[in-house]
Amino acid sequence: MTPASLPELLVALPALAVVMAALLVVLVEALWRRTIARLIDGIALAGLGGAAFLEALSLRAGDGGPAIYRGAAAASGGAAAALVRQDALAAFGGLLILVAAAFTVLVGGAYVARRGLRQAEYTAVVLFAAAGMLLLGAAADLIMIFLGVEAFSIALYVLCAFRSGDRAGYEAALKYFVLGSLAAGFLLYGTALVYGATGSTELARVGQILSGPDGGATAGQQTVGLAGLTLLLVGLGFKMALVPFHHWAPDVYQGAPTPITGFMAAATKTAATVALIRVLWTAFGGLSATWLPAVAALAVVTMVVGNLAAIVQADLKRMLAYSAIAQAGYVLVALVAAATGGVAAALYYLLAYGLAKLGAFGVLALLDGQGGGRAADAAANVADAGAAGERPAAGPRDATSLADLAGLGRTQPWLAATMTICLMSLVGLPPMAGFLGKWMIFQSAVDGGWMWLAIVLVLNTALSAFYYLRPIGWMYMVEPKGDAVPEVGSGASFALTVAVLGLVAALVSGGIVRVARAADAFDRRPPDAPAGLPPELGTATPAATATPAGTAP
Amino acid sequence: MSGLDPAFLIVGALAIVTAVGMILAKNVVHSALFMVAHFGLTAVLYLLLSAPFLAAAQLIVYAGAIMVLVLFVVMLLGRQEALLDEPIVGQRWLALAALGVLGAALVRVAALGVPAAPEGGTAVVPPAFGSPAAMGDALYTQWVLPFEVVSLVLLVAMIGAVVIAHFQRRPRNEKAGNPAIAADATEIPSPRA
Amino acid sequence: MDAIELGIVALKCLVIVAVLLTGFAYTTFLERKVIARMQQRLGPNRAGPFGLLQPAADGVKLIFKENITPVGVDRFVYFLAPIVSMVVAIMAFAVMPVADPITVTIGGQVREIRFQLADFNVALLYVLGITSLAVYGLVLAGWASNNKFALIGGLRSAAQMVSYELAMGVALVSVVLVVGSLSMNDIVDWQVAKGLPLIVLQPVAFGIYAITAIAETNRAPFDFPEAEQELVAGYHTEYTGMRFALFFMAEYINMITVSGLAATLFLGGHHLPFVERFTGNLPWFVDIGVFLAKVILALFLFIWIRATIPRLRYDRLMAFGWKVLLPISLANLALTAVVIAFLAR
Repeated sequence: MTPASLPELLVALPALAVVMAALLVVLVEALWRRTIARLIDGIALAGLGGAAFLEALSLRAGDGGPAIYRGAAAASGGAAAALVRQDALAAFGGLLILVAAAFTVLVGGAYVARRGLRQAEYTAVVLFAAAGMLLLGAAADLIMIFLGVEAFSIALYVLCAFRSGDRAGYEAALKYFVLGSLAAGFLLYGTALVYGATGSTELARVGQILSGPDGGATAGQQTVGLAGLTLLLVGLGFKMALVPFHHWAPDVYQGAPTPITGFMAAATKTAATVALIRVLWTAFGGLSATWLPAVAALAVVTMVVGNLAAIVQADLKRMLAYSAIAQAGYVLVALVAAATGGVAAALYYLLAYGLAKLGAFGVLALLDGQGGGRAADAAANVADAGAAGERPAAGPRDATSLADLAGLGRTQPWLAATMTICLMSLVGLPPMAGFLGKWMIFQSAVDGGWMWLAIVLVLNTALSAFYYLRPIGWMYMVEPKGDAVPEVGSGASFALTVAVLGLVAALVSGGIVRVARAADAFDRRPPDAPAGLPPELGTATPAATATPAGTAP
Repeated sequence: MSGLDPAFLIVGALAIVTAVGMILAKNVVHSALFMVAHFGLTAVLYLLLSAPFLAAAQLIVYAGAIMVLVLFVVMLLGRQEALLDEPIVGQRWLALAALGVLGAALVRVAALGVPAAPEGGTAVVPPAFGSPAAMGDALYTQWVLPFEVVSLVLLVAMIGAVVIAHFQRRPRNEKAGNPAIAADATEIPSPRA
Repeated sequence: MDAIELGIVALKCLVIVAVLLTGFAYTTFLERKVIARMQQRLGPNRAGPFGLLQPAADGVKLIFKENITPVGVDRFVYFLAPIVSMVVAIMAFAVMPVADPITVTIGGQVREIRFQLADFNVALLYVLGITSLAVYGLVLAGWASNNKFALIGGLRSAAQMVSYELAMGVALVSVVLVVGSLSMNDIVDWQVAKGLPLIVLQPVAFGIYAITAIAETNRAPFDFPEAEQELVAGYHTEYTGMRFALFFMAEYINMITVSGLAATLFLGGHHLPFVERFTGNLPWFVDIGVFLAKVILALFLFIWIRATIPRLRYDRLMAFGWKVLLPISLANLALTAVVIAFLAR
């Protein structure tokens, strides 16, 4: 091994910092006789904060070109492919993932402590998942994409089953695991086909060969490449919960511990979307004329099915799961319109959406356990569940039904207000960040000539208002059922405040929009007609593939 | 070695047969055996593609270790016939049709032709290709980051296995409704929509 | 590859099988004699001079015994298991070099004949891969027999072999690090060139290899899969006649193989590294003799250990493998790597 490979490896430093923190948490847990919750939280937040600092640095240093890790050249020769690309796109997605992870550590810490579960392992696995997502967001090679997906998926399978003895969690974990493995198989097959067509797994190189002037790809190569893209789309679409591949999402979102559900909704979607952006536009941008209609159709189906199914849900987590599916459809619209500012729109929207989802699931996680006091309620639920050998358990159960929110506006005005703001942002009502995000997507779609897609988007938004506003009604217009007043830990409420403030800040500050715009400057292969790029973006660099190996930030 | 080498074709066909057998076998142990055979044949395929190290690793890791553990678990579960019913009526015919479509697409693509070496030259196997030294060289230089990520994945899987398997045993004779002792109690399943 | 070459390969295969089968027969004889002597008995002495025809008598008896197939067995797997055991045991020997190559003239052509079926650059991995398959015979036999003792024997063997394989593999990696090749011939040649057998350089690796080899072949004190006091006869409880004999053969052939591997990797193979500094390279028939002597020495050790050390307790066995052998072998590997990196400067 050449020692020179070490500094270059620093490109992956954000992910490495998170991994370090996770390892430290595991070691502290193993070596200390008594674990100190605050120490573990502190380590985790320090790691996440350090990573966020590095991401912010690379976001600022965007002008000097992205830092790229290629791996040392093997002695047997052969050009080293770019494996990790720490550009503005990766940094923006990374920051979002890190915020979600910090949120999950804080809110989940309270959740886990209340149930007497193992906090250190919980924190460590969340951090590992975050590291995998960071790698996925920065992956510039199909191998790295696959490994990033695997890294965070396995961590999430574990987190789904984290409540010991909880059948719903086990069921969720098993479903997620089995279907996730299938999706991983699709990803691998897609990678193999792309490699077969082009002889490379590096996204930029694939893009060059499939469409570039020096590539000269044959029709056969392009067909095999597109077959590979189809399979990659299935694999990543599974992680994003796009519609034909979404069947796992409701069950898993419902069965997983609530903080983890929020983490999955916010962070997984971000990481998978960033990876999809790179696959679609870096590797297959030149063939976009072929796949754009298919992806647009996918977006329509995802939006419509997600929203229609969300309407009929009585369970809040399930409802939010279907809404998450619909939201993925909106993001997909932005990806279709990537040539006209869609990537910036998608990133901004992911930010607004992610914070709102974290807030909503955070409120649910904090309400969790309140069901335990209502014996009659619990007994009724058991009767519903049938004679599956369940005993009437005493455990705190997740607050997941609309009835759990009844009268929250009176008993917990602060939580109710948070929930309201998050839900309104999810709808996309004008004063909220979600509105700006939807507006950006709408505009990019119209600019890109996808008028009909934009109209479908608006119609779906109207459709979604129904089910998003219903919980608000329950919170403020229904009398509270029990007399129990939920207790809310300080760290958790702090995290919630951050989420809401973030939503507000995202709205107030045009800076985030600017940053999202800057992140549009990822290594993209323009479609066959580069004239489609509006001048104010001016960031898509066709020659970016020729960028020499970057240095560490 | 050319992809149309008869040995390659025969071994590949056998590998497919064993893979299908693995899916169709009613008995779990027979399935596992088919899978072992499949792994062995895959190792032979690697050998034919001049990757002897990969072949040996395939044999040691998959056939020698992983499948033994699979058999171990299967045997602990006792002898039972798997039920091969169709939860969705007609799904097998649908699957067969989908397979036909895929096969036709594959033939069509093959007819279009993919050059053996995408960058215009002829595919040449380097002299040390697939040897342990070449594999180690590639793994620890160019692919060192993915290599480490794989170790990360395994670490997470290990921690997860311990966490999930380590079921917390506490006295569970208390009455329902006391949140303080309820940490390990089976939870009430959420009502389905 | 022409017809003559093909013929030579076929001949080699035949010779290997014949020698291994004979070797098996006389290893059992050796074992009975040695153990008898250690226990102040005479051992078999009726058939032939000194009882030398005893193995033949046993063979005839086993062949003519009735094969009983119990009710409720999984017939296919039940028949497959002994075959798997036997085939795997014989296959592992294919890469073992037993003498220097010689050149002969056949039909006007000069040909080199190697006393080895095949050598390739991952020969050592091949042996490890094949021996790791040996567990299937036991596991399948245990499962297919429809017998609780057999099943427990099979389960034990699976756990035991997977655990000990790890330590064995890591120990052998240290040897590979020193030599820098996975080819059997390279390893032997290295020892000859340096003039000292690897046991001197890697005593820890040899120790671990010796222990794990006993466990891998399910020999006392690690003979849990067939611990007769607890499990009747373990995985082969329900086997009779020739099928039982196949398991028996596989066990002894595995002993010969791991002994041959020990000789090749640690003791200089078919050479006498230290002696040949003075005498020069010895002719091929001496090579074979040297190799045989080393194998018999190792087999004697096997038998000696069986006669001396009582069986461990099962949980101790697993704890020993994972908590003692594996860490030691890893430490040995790390130390070897550091020393080699240091010397390479």
